[in-house]
Amino acid sequence: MFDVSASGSVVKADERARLWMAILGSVLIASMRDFESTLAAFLVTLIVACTAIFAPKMSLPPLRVGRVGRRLLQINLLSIFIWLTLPWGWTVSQGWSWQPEMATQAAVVTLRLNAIVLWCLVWLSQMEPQVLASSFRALGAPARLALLLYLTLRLLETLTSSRKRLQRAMRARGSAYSLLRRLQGIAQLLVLLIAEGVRRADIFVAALRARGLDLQSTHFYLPSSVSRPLPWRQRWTFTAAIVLLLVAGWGL
Amino acid sequence: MHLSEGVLEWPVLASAAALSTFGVGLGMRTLSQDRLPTAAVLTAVFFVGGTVHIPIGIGSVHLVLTGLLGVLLGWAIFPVLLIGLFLQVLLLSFGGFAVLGANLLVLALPAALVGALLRPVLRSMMTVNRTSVSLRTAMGLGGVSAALSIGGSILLVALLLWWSGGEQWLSLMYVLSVAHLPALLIDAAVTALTIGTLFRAAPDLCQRLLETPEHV
Repeated sequence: MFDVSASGSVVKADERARLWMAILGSVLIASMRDFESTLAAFLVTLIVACTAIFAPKMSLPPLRVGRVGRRLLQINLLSIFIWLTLPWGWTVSQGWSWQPEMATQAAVVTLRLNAIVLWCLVWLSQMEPQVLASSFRALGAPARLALLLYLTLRLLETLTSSRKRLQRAMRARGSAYSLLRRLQGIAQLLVLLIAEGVRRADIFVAALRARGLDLQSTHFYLPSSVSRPLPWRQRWTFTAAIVLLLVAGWGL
Repeated sequence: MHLSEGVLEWPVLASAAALSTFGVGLGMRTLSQDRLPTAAVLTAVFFVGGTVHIPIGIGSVHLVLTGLLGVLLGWAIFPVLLIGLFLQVLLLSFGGFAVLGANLLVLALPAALVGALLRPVLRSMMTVNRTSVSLRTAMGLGGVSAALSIGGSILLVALLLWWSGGEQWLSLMYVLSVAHLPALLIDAAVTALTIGTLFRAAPDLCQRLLETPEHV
């Protein structure tokens, strides 16, 4: 699910700091409006991503070219829509005409889109799901929300494999002839997934209770990797990065 | 249905995030500890359902399922979709962090309103004798809930785009609205059939999903 196979270098940054960096960077880039600053942000994220791809010995999580390419391809489908609609204006006298100022706006949107996706890929690749849930809680999310994320992550893998298994079985029984049959098959699949998920969730909750963890309690288990305070060097680096981001955001 | 990063301006993003935070707070009040496992199941189903693609012509649509979740969860759809969208950002690069509040508002608000209207009706139908008429009515309500939820989401997307870019975005609004119509129809059909299957084949499960207490 998460890309954890490339283990060429140790991910040194703390997960909480990485999550915050991804969120803050996204918000900052999203607030940029003019072409120059957006282009600068895109170039910076491109350099950071290239560093993560081609210099994996640095403390950034390593990235794979194929993975980055696939993500960029997916998200740029919207860019195509934007370029097909935004820069073109229609008037009765002139018909369709190219509007340079709207083309600039389309370029800003496209650059922002790509910069944010690259930035998030850099900071969040190779993050383990359970660590993610704990980081979410450690960053101040309510205990019930973090527990919901934790339970969801536990169920996701089961339901994803169940979906593949059930769909294979349905295809083998020939349930994909007509659209209606296919939709009926999908509805049955969803009901089976809900039933399977509820059964698994009950077992999981019973196991939690058997181990002495109570869902009614507001306490939430945090692994030591994210319940300990940040090491001072990371704390200062993290604080400096946030201040820099905020100052940059203020300047823009 | 997801708005991508970089499309909306920051005042729109901030307002949508504030409204979504209010929705999440409201939803958390209805999401008691006992409902957490069921909510987690439906979050996972939302995520997995989003990866189910149905080929239509030369393209394909993926399931949104907000109508189904709205009917089953009511206002608790806000925290559920928050987690679902958060995971979609992380695992599938759908949407983004800055636009998370806007996407949550777009998907959850219409579904929560539709759920608030139709959930009590479906719940009362579960308690009376289930006949073929009530089965068809339940399926119809399911289809209507999906159609209204996705239709509401399309309108909200158009509203946010208009607020962000004014009339310059008009043609993009039209393109996006038309592009989502097949998803609306498919989702309405799948939700109707799912409610029907739950109603007919798994009444206990349906009752458990619908009869959880709400405190709002």
